[in-house]
Amino acid sequence: MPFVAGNFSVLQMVHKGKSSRSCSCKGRGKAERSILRGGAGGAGTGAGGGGRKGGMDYQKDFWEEFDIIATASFIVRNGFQRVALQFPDELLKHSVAVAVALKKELGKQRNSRFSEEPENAAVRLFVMADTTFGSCCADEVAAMHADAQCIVHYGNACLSLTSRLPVWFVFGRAALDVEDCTSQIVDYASAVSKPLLVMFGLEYSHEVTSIKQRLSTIQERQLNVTFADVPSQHMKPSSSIEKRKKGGRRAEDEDKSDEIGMVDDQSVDKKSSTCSAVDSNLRETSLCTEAELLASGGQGINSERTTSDFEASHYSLGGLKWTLPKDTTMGDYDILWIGGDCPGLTNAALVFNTSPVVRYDCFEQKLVRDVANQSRVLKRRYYLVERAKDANVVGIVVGTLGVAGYADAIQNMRRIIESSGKKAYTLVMGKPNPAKLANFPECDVFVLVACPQTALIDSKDYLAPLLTPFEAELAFVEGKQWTGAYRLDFDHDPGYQGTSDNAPQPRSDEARYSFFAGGYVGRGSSETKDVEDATSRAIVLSKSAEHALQLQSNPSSSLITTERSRLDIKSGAEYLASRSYQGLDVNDGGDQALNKDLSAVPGRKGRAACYSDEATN
Amino acid sequence: MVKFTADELRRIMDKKHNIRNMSVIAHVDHGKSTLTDSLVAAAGIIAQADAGDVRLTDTRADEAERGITIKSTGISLYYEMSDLSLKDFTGEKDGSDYLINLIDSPGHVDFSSEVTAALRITDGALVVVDCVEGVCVQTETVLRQALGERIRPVLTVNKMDRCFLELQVEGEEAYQTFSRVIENANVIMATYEDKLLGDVQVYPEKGTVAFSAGLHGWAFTLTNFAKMYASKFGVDEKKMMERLWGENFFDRATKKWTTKNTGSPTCSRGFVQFVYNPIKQIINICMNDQKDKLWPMLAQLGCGLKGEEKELMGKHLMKRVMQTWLPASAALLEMMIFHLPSPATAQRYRVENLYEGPLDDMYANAIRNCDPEGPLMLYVSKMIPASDKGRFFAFGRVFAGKVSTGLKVRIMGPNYVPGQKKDLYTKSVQRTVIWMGRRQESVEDVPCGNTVALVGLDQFITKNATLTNEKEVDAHPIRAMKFSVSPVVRVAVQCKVASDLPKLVEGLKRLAKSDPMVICTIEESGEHIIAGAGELHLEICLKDLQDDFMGGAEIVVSDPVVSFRETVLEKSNHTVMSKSPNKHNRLYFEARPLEDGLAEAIDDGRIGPRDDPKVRSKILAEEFGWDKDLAKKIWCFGPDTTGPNMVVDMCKGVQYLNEIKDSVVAAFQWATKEGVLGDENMRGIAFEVCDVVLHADAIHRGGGQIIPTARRAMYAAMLTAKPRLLEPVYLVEIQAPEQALGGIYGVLNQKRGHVFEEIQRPGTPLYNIKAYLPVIESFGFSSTLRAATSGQAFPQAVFDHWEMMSSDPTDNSTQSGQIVSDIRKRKGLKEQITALSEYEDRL
Repeated sequence: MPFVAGNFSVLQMVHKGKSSRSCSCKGRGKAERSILRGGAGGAGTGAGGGGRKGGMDYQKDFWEEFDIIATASFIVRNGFQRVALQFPDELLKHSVAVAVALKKELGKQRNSRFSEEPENAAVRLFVMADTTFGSCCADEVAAMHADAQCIVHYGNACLSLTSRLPVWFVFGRAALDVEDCTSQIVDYASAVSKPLLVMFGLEYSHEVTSIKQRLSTIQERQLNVTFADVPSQHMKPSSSIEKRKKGGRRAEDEDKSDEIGMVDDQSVDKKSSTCSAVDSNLRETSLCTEAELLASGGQGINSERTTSDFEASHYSLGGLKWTLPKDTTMGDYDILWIGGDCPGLTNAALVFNTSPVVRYDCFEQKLVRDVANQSRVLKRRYYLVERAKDANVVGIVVGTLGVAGYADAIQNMRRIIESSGKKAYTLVMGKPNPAKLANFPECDVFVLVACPQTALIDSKDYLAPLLTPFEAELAFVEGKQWTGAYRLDFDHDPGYQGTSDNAPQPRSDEARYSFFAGGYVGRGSSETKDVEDATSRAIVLSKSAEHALQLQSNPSSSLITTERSRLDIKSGAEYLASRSYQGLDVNDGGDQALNKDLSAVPGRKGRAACYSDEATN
Repeated sequence: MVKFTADELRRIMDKKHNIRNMSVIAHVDHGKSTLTDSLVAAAGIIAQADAGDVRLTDTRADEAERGITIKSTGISLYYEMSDLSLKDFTGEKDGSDYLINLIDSPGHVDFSSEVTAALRITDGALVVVDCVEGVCVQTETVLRQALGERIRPVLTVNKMDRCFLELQVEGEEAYQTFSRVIENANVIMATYEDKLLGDVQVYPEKGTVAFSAGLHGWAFTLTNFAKMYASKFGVDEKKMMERLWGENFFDRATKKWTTKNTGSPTCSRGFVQFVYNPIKQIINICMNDQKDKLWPMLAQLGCGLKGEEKELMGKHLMKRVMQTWLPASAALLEMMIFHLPSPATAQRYRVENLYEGPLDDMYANAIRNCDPEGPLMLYVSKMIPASDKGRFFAFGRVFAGKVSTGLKVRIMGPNYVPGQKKDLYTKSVQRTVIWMGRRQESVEDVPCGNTVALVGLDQFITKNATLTNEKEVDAHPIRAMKFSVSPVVRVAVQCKVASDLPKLVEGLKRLAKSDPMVICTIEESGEHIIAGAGELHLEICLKDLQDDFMGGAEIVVSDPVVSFRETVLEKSNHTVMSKSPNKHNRLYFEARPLEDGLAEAIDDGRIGPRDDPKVRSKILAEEFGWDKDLAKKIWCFGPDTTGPNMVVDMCKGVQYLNEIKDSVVAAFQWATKEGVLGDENMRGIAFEVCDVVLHADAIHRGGGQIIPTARRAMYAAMLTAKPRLLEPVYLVEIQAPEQALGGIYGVLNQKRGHVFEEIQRPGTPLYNIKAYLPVIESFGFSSTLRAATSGQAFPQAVFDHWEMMSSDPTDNSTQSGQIVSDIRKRKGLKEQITALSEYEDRL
């Protein structure tokens, strides 16, 4: 995979109409029951008795697995013409077969529905792979390159709200022994005194209803087990929800056709992300509700009580959502997770760090305890927050270009960092890895603005740690303290937004105690404190850089430069100045070079393939 | 019963010649605080009757309870000398009233940092030695520290009452004991010959040695007796003094002085005859309640008791009689006033030790001349918790100028570098306070030469700082204190209730402030670590943290954790190579141990990044056998750019090498901080860059490619050079009678310690044992030792050095392997050390 920062690597295979490769699924391993589980699928299929399936069975399984019929009906119902199919790496091998099957089904359904409109051309499907960021997020940018109207997302998903395009999720169907799982849940629930909340990996969502039913039949005595709801497969972009909501307030009977279609305005009304009101006037009631609830908390705790539900508090996390009775909090519950050890589970364990978590492993068919090592992970994150407090230069790593509200989150981050007297740089580089980030040794810490499932990176191998926006806020906003509460979404804090928009909180001049320096360190540099507007700040910065360069212009012993401690370096320019090597020929020409006019001039513009000043012949 | 007011005190503060700043230092339990009390009694703060029982300077409940001093406490005393006693005073003076700023310091080795802080702000030291136990380990340590700071000492032989009451020693034997004590002290002092300070040894006949009984509140110097006898015999006082000590004998029968014992039964040593025996006689009379004999004797001595005091019996009578006859305060205070320097005198020579900047600038001159009109130079040596929780007084000494309420001061922290903005704040002093034991008195301003407590600066000063006037931007700070102990014992703390975390953080912040030595940090794993000098120190810190600084919120304390260091035993057995992620760059590294003593030289700052490269290469070449050219090719020290590891460039003619230097240095800092074995710091490793192959295109050899690769290569080099663990080792000094030796050896053997010195203290049945003991084995050592020797052995442990553990840490079955896996488990790392193949690549 190419690792070039800032580059989208989109593999587009455009299937035009009839494909002759419809048999590409031939010869696939019979035992592979759960296709969407990719390579891992083969490992634990014994229980399902994979051997009994013949070719026809397989075909049927395949259609079910990839949910071809429902997908096609979704596309037809909404009248999409251009559809992007997004596959994670491990499912890419099935992409052709899926596209072909989908095409076939689409043709069938369209004929029955739009028989009177023959001029309507066939739906065009685009296959996308190698997503720029995490494969759990719908890659809107890539889809828009193909000018797609909707995305069908296969495989594990974080269900983060998208900003522009509607998404249809196919989670896949992993094998699960309902019988055994139910009995284990019963056993565990009766063993612990606390009520139990059952969460699950999305690939098991198809079985959850049957587990629920099963549980209600065999339940001898009253067990307090709550299930998270099965998420909807359809997600609407934040822009359409917002628009509809706005419209809904004005006129209740707004047409639903407005739902689809791209709206440029991507600003997110924060209210919409936390509101869970049900717009019952709409025809697709259930779907909309689902989508809204998704919107209401792609991540994080959402316990806001709206007028309609005084009785309960709503929670949602990673696409799952559930309702707890009034007067109970998550702290009262144990969590049982059905499925593998995945980011979703880690997130749940971190966010609800007061609840013990056990995991039902579907292959081994047993309960695994103490899965996520909550306290250790939390403490580690706490350490990173403390370390970030000492940072002077912060890199904001853009880890998503799709999740709703990312632009605001980045803006917000910049504002927070700058108001704390630190220097922020925004970096776009696709999936971060140690080698890419080590290209920015001037950054003391990075903030990764990404979807919750990719945001948590244990930065042991990184030169500088990576923080989530929530942690960054803890570190950089004065007065915020680590209380043990944790969240992973970045789209959550209307409180801070309100205050920061008007006037940044007055910074107290008290020195901050640093656990690394073992003493007090100043908050930011004293220069930026007095500076009101950006221009004069820039002047100060350039002055300090100039100052640093002057120090350097006297090349002294090789070791002196390394002596300058990280604590002094307040910007990238100063870091450069402190380096022993500053690029080619800086000192060539001695004093004359220094006396030359060194003022900044505008550089070239445009893309590297063809800069705007290069005439197109 | 306050005899003097703050105003009176303030008035005298201006008389820089009439001030004495002194600390009381001694081994633990030699009676510093008790003696201090009797001095304070004379200044009138507490009733004379309570002297000896109150321990005014032990202000904390746990100090009183344990009977040891934990924090050093300052008291300002006012003392008026009689004109008579001043007539021989030759130094500069200004009236006959004196101000004595006294600091009582703890004796336990775990709290030596408090002593260091006390010494910094004083000019003289009263060294207290138990007349029976003699000069002990800690006496020696603190004495050395004092002399290192150019503090002039005077000595007092304390616990005289034990001689008379408990041991009933005869005169000549007592004299021998005393003179040995003084001699031992002088041996130490003699090693610190200093031209400016002059002769620092102490002599009873010169009045620089006192004899005291702190518990009973009496003391004398030979001056007292010399004066008495001089008038009686009609001899010159000086001459009399000389006769009262040393080889001077008096025969009562012949009334002749000789320098040798003539052997006649009536001939005895001057000291015994004229000093020791009279005291003994009076004490005996008092104890036996022979009041009929007592009154005439007292009348003869010119000290009468008041009405009801005459009713006292036995010990109380004796105490009162002795206090009246030989008041401790008079003897000791006069000794200090006569023989300890005033700030004006002391700062003249101490300026070299104190000031970091050029010794001829206006600040140095102001300090040298103790100039109250000069620019403010104030050193804050410690922070004292104030009665309102969470706030601190900044306690220190004004070396020049004046500090006043409302003054805007420039605070230069320990990391301040002149000309930079780091660790520099400007803030107003809210209040200036002088310290009088348990009371604090606000004053308008405090001039140079005095100790002072400041209110309102605690948010900017962690432990110490130099203060100067707001506008004095070119002032250099006063040199940081050097501690004789280091914080090697660490515990991890966490709060029982997760939501108490903010309280814990705040508590740690305050704890770090309240103690000069303790270090509060946070580990990679997110655990809060408190590091202290020893078990007792930590115990006190944790108690303070929980009770005082966290408002009683419960904390969970881990078992003590010892930090290790990682090193290598040999040179790498082959040159290792690592490839960058893009496979276009190859780095070749080797690791080798630094020469013996080099790591220590770096620790001590003899070799460091700031040195002139020429000087550095000279030292390296001459002392450590380095090649001169090679010594110039050191790229960096680490961790933290000053640590005892280095990268050396061994390449020849490699292209673009200068471009990757910064990346390699960054990787080196990172790698030396988190070693390959258990993420502990590295120590004593030289990494040699043997060769590099770099991509021709600059973008492909940027930091992103080089930094992770260089780190991997260093790890690989370390793994191929027989990595070893270094463990910290204590130097333990144990003092015990002969019969306890067996037990001591037993315990030491069991704890992997080994004895390297065993000396009998001359004239005593006590043995001094010196041994090395691994810190990791030291937990519970004192209690085990006490149990094994039925309480007769008293150990003092100070961190001494790092010692290599010979076993292979990569082998899990060995002891060091076990330690490594424990460390890794604690830090949440994979339990196995990452294999070499993860770091080394093949061509």
